[in-house]
Formats: sequence, C-alpha cells, structure tokens
Amino acid sequence: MHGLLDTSFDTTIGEPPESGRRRTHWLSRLLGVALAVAMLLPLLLALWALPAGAQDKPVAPAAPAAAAASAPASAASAPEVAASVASAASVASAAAPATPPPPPAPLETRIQQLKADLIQLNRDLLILEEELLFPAGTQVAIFVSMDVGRLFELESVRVVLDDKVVAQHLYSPLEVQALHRGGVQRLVLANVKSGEHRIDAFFTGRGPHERDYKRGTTVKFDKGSEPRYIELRIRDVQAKLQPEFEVKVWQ
Amino acid sequence: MRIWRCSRGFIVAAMGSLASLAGAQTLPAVEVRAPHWGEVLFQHHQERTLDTLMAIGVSQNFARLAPHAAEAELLRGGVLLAWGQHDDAAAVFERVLADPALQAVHDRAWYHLARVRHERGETAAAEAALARIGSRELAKPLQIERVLLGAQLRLLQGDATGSAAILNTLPPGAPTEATLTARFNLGVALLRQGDREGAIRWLQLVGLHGPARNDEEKALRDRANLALGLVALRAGEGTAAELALNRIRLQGPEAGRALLALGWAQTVAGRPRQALVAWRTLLSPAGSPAVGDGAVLEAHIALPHALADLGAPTQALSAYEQAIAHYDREQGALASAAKAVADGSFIQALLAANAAPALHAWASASALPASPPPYAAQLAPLIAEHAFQAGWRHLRDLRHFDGRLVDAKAQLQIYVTMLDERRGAFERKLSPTREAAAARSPAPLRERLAALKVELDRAQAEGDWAMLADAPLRAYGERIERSRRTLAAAELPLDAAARDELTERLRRAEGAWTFALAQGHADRAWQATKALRDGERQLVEAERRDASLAAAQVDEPRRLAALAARIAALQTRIDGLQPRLVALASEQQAVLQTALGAEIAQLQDKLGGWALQARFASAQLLDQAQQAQAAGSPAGSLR
Repeated sequence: MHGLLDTSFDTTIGEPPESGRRRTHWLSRLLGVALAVAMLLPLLLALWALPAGAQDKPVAPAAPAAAAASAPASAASAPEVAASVASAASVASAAAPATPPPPPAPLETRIQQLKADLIQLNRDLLILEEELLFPAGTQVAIFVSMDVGRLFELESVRVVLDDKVVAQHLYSPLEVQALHRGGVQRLVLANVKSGEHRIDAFFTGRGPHERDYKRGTTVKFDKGSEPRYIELRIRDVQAKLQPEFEVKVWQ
Repeated sequence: MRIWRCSRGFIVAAMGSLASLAGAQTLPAVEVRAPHWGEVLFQHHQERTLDTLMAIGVSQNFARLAPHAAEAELLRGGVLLAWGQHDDAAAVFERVLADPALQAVHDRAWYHLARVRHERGETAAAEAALARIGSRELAKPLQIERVLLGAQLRLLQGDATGSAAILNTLPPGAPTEATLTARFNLGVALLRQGDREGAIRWLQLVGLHGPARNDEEKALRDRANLALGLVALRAGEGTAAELALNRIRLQGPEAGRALLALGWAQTVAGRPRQALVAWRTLLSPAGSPAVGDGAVLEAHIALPHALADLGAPTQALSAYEQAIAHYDREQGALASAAKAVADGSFIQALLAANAAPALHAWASASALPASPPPYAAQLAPLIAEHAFQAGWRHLRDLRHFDGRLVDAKAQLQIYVTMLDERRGAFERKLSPTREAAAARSPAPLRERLAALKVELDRAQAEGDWAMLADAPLRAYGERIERSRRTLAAAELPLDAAARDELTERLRRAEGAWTFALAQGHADRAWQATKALRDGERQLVEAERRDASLAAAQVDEPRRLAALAARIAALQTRIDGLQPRLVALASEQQAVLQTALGAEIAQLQDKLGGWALQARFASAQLLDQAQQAQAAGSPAGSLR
C-alpha cells in the first residue's frame, strides 16, 4: 500500500485479495515465486552492498525526513567519496615503480578555481578597456539615480553632451527597482577634451496623477586632467508634490 | 513546464540561498558617497552576479570605492558565497576579519564566514564563527538570518531541541518564508529522531499557517501538510491523514502525491470507494500534475487494486491492462529520455530553457525543456535536487564564460589593431612635432623675461620713470629729444632771442613731461609688474606643455608598449583558460548526464516492477475467473 509515499510504509501495491490467493492456480503460484525472487534480488543485493553501519540504521520515518536529512549528508559525501577514491588510488599506486601524477582535485574545486581565474581575467580585461579607451585625462562618466520615485515613474532618459546624443535608455522595471533601492546607473562613459562642456538630459515618464511627464535639465562643467563624474538625480519634492531633477558634479 | 517538486534536500540547502537572497534584498539603505558604489548596487539589485563582481573589482582597482571600502569587500564576499565560490568568499571574509580598520563590519563578516563554512559542510567551524558575534545583535534582516542559520546548524549537529530553542527566539517580524522553512526543517528533523509529537507541533505551525503571500509559502505549507498526512497515515490514522491532505492545493506541486496519499488514507479510514475518486482524479488528464509524475504512475496500479478489493474484477482487469499499456509507453519514453540524456541533447535543452544572460547566482534550472516533453517530468525531482542544481549552475556559468572568452579574444585583437594605429599615428606626428617644439622653445623667452624683470627692478630702484613710460609718453619724450637736437644744430637760422625762447619752451615741455612721468609712475610700475607676472604664468604653462610634450615623446611609446604587453598577456591567459574551460565543462556535463542516466535506470526498474505486479495481478484475476467458470459460477465471466 502507498509505496510511493515512502519505503518506510511497509505496504505493497497491487497485493491480491486474501480469499483469491488461496484459490490461485499453480501457474500463478509459480509466477508469483519467480516474481518474488525477482523483486527481492535487487533488495538483497542492495543490502549486501550497504556498509555495515548503514544496515543497522532505522528506516527514515517519512519521505520528507529522509530527503531533508540527505541534504547535508550529500553535501558532505562528495569530498568523502573523492577522498576514498584518492586513497584507493594511492594504495594502488604504491606498487607501481614510477611516481604517479597526483590525483586530480575534486571537480567542484577545479571548477571553483577556474571560475576564480575567469573572474580575475574579466576584471583585468575591463580595467585594460577603461585605461585604453577612456583614459583619466579625457574620461567623463554620467550617472543616473533616483529616490523613492513616488512622484515620478521613470521610463526613459536621453543625454546630450555638447549637442551630441550620447545615450538614450529605456528602463526595464528591474532597473527602475534597482534605482529605487539606491542603485546608481552609469549611463555614459565618454571622452571629452579639457575645457568647458555642457550636458542636457531629458527624462520621460509618468508624473503626478499618472500624467505623461517630460523634463529636462542642463549642466555646464569644466574638464581638467582628472576624470569627471556627473550624477543626474531625480528626487521627489513632497512640498511641491513634484519630482525634481538636479545635477551633482562629483569632485 | 516549471519544476515544483523540489526535494527536501534542496529545501534545506536552499535555506542558505534564500537567506542570502533575502539579505541582498533587504540591504539597509545607505547613503551613496561614491557614484561607483551606487553602480555596484545597481548591478547587485538586478541580481547580475558577474556584473556586480566586475563593478566592484574594477572600481577597487581605481580606488573609487574608498568611502564604502568595507561594504564593498563584504558584498564581494557575499556574492561569491551565493555563487558557490566558497573558497574565494572565505578568503575575502578572512581578509576583512584580519583588518582592524574594518572592525565595524567584523560581526557581519563572522556571520558570512559561518555561512561559508556551513555551505562547505563544516558545521562545528560554522558554529564557532557564529559564536564570535556573541550577544551583539546584527542589523535586523541579518539578525534573523543569523538565528535561522544557528537553528540549522544545531539541527545538523543532531540537536533538535537546541534548534527549537533558537527558533523560538525569532522576533515576530521575521520573514515568513525563511521562518516557515526553518520550522519545516525542524519538524522533519524531530520526526527523524522519533519525536512524533514535537514534529507534528512544528509541522502544524507551517501546515496551518495563515494566508500565504507567495508561491513559495504555499508550496511549503503543502509540504508540511503532506508530511503531516504521511505521519498520520503511518500511524494508521486515516481520518487525521485525510484532514491534513485535504489542506493541500490541487494546483500545487504536491497535488499528485497528496491525491495518492489521500486515496490510501481513505482506504485506511474504511472508505475505499472514496479512494477511487482521489485516484481517478489523479489519473484524469485534467487532474494529472504531469505526464510521468511518480504519483500518477503509482495510481495506475493502486486503482485496479482497490477495484479488485471492492469486488469489481472486470473493471480491475481492465484497469490493470491500461496500467500495463501505460507503463509500456512510459518505458518507451524513458528509453528515448535515456538516449537524449546520453547524447547530451537533454542538457542542451535544459540550458536553453533556463538561459540566464545576467548570470545571477540564485538562478536555478526551474524550467524544464519544452520539447521533447514526455519524459521531462520524470526527471524533475532529480533536477530540483540541490546537488544537480549546483552542477547545472556550474555548467551554465562555464558555457557563459566560454562565449565571453571568444568575444574577449576578438576584442583584444581589435585593441591590438587600435594600438598599431596609435603607434603609427604617433610616429607620423613625432617628427613635425619635434621641429615645431624646437622652433617654439620657451628657453629664449625665459631669458628675455628675466632681463625685463632686472630692468624693471633697476628702474624702480633708480627712479627711472622714463623706463616705465607708456607709448604716448615715450613718443612725447622722443619728440622733446628730437627738438633738442634740432635746436642744437648750428645751421638753424635763428637769432639769440628766438633761440632762447625756443630753449625756454623746450625746457617747459620737458618739465611737463617729467611731471607726467612722475605723476603716473606707480600705476605704470604696477602695470609693468602685472604684465611680467602674466608673462611668467604663460611662460610656465608653455614650459609645462613643452615638458609634457617632451615626456610624451618618451612615455607614449612606453605606454603603448606596456598596453601591448598587457594585451599579449591577456591573450595568453585566454589561450590557457579555454582548454581548461572546455574540459571542465564536458566533465561537469558528464556528471550531470550520469546522474540523469542513473535516475532513468532507477525509474525503469521501478516501472518494470509495477508492470510485473500488474501482469501478475491480471493473471491472478484471469485465473480466478477461469476457476469460477470451471465451477459454473456466473461470476466467472470477466469479459
């Protein structure tokens, strides 16, 4: 009965009625014996293969319990298996005349190491890219940030740097959420000459009372030999019940 | 199709991930004091794991995160931990703990280090790390995670009572999902220890929990009710089991097993006819959770068994025959599944169905391939296992990096070309620039400026106001001088009186001129000094430009050479990483395929057993009918 639920429920499915079993034909009995042997054989083999300690263990009381317990056990079993494989390999190799290569580290460890190398490589690539394409002497970065955004639901932004459109971005809900939670988007990374420059930014979205809202802001800044970071901020002004767009030039 | 049937193993192990995710989502609001820290948060809040790590790494390199250095390092460790990079994460936290300057975040680092050790299976070490926090409380969301982790660690040490005591300290505002998970785990652990009453108490806290806020909470509630139902069923309490099982949603991930268990509960409660309703619901296309679902497969054989018990041999025989036919079809599907697993197409389809371009740490293979569908459901429980998910994530990441490496290699080639162009342009401009620089050398100007300065100082010291005269005054002075020369000339036809008069007029003019010189000399001296100062400034700027031009002539080739060397080194690194990546990806894929293959083999064995049982039972029914027919009983006819 209900064998699926857990092996600890000692019931079998499809057990024939008691009254019928007494009148079973000899052919059916023979088939039954063969079936029983066939079904028991894997179980006996499995029991034989189990470690001595495991055979004494009580059966898990319920399926969830068995599986719940298996999580930490399985987490710990991989290194154990690897260790036993490694020790077996070392025993086998003791008889060999030549020095065998060291056993490979577990796959998990090797993958972690490879991923660490790949992260480092990607980081170095990005640093090279920034130094090569956007050197400090000409670099200007434009950021966008916003606070709670109750009065303005950002949809898109367009940035014009010295009369040239350098960015046009349509926001996904996930990006807007990330901005609300304190994220600051680096929208533009560009090169400009030393001297005075001008940025015009246009924000579109939904303003108070769900109305379409488009606002612009302008900033002039001087570019010297250091990188310039300019942040376009959108914040709610509760007193005016209007969003406000301001610019911060980071020093 | 979504995978709903995650195993308990996954639930337990996922606790850490959930907690980690919760931690990510409930980061305390911080003032952004560096725009690049905001950029890190922007990536992190979108769960873009690699982009977050890159944003931190690059900005750390350029020292752009100084006001948030400790936070950035902690976040880096946390993201690495969530991504399964336990060794790297541990190294980060240990570095933070070794730095006295980061004392403010040491408690959080101890908590994260405990998490790392827990993930590695080092339970005692994890508890030791948690103990280092002592009685100090962390910020609220992290404090709750700390309590949950502490309870989990006690459970792993086999101390369910201790775990319960820790869980009881949870504040009322604890996040429901994480709390429910912890309670469920505790209930299950108590069950394993034989404390049935205690287990039921904790499981009921989950199973009878009020309105669930999301699918995960609903799923947890279902799981608790299923566990409660099974416990009652095991004790032979059919009605109690029915009560718990009836609380499980029919649309939920546990619906199949709940319906199967409900049938058995009703049988135990002495209502086998109602059991038929539950199992028929399970077998109906509308009620079936998924083709190949284990509960459905078992219901195929449970139904005829119940029919036979109820004295309906004809229907029972028919149902057995249907079950045998169904099992044969399933065997066929499993054979094709085994083939798809062996040739790698199943893994490919699984990767395609769960594409994650952002490569975020918490993504899981939650969607099964849309095609071919017949066998996917049978593999769903294995796919939902924590170990399989971890392996799948590794494979997904390696595939992602494989593509990135190819792109990076192409990009580096472009940089090589760009550098060649720059080098060529530099060499072309170098010669004319040198000639122009030589022609505009500021050295003679410096000498002239120095001479003027000396002259001005002398004029001021000696009161030589004529030296400071402006252009009109200078012209006036020259005119006087010219007049004096003319007057002195002998050939001028003038008598003595006229000559005296002219001399007198010249003297008066000279006096006026001297007066004018004396009158404005202070202003003119100031103007001259200012002009010299401006000249000095311009000369300094010219010299700076000249020097930077001279330096650039030397530095630029060096800089270009250094960049070229870095590009070459990166290319070499990529060449070294690519074969490693390919080898490990195929090794990881083989591991996943082996696990899937073993699962299929196990399913095939199980199906074979059920089919054999069904055949045996059919034979028995036919046998009985034959005997009854031979005895002349009217009940002997089955057809």
